[in-house]
Amino acid sequence: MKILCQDSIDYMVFRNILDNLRMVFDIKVIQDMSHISKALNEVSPDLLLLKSEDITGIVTAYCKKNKTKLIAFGDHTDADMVFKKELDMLRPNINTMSFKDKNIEKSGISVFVDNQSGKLVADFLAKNYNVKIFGNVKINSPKYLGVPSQVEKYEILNSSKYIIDLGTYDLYDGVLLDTYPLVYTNFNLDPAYKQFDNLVSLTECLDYIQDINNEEEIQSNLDVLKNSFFKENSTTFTIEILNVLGFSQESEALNTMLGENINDWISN
Amino acid sequence: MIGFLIDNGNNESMVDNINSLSRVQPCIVFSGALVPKLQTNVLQRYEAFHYNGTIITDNFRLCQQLPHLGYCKKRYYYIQNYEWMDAEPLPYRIIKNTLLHPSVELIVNDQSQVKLMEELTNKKVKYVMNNWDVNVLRQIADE
Repeated sequence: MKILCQDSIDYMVFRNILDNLRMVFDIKVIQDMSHISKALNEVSPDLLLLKSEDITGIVTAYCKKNKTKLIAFGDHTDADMVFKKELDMLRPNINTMSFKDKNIEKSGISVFVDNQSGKLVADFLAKNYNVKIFGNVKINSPKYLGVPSQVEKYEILNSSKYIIDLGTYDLYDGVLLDTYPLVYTNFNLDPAYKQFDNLVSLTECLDYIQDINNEEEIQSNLDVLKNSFFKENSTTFTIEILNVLGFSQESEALNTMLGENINDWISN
Repeated sequence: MIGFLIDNGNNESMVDNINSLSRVQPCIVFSGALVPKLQTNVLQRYEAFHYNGTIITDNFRLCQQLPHLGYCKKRYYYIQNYEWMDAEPLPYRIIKNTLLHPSVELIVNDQSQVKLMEELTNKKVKYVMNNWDVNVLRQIADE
């Protein structure tokens, strides 16, 4: 299957789909949309992923003529599938499990903060708790240890016992690397997570994880979450999309790979 | 033999204590600038790459070189201020190559820093050395 996609589509669901398709298929990326006609003719894609605002008459005509499937990100298009920004959400990427390092002893609480809305909480944590803080928002404390790359983030998660996710969506990677997440959010998450939306509920969450009597419950919550991720994750989501678009052989290839990987990770 | 990797000689307390130490112990300073007040051997900073003794720096930027000084017997980062707080941007890999690097051992200026640094780095602080205390420098040199 040949896939052509636009560069830097700022959707979490796009990131999820692309990460999974990349594992099995060759993907061509177009950066300058003024060259779309040339790109379509050169790549002859079976599947096209574009922002809605960049879907022109040329693109729709090409797709109709060549039976190319079109996934759009944005509002109101004639695409075969449309993802709207307001419904955009990240799904767990279980390939994170390939970064699991069982030889590292887990300890401590790591905090990830990438936007200003989490700064107040991060400042509070730096002043009052034994934490290590990472992320794009600089915190004025020696406990702020900089901006990690994605692989370094996996290293940090592997070595941490708990993470506090201040809106960075690291909760999924945390669970998959056996690091229990405390999540800063107003939405109701699965009860297996610990979540907070103010400093009082944060303190309660921290009291909970620091009580050794809760260790078994935390481990069992982690197992519940991890098992749910095996059933529903970004790969199963991508498989579903391929099925809906009629790429049954391709979805089967991804499904086989998913099954093999899960077996490997569980047996290791 | 004890070596000091320094940025300049602006810290008088450091210079005085290195001078005191040099009277009883062989020591060597690797500096990027001339320090006329120093009464010991002063070499260009890059000469540290050939040095095979114990080395100390109190400079966060220079601390990044410590893991690359392949012949050094021991490498110490002397934390007086939390200098990484001033770095902007601060990639985590720099922290990994300094504070958290397994070959870099820690000296702190004050007992009150010990708990924080041990919690942050998961390493034991080797020495508490107040303002380049010559007695502690002697202990390090005698290791």
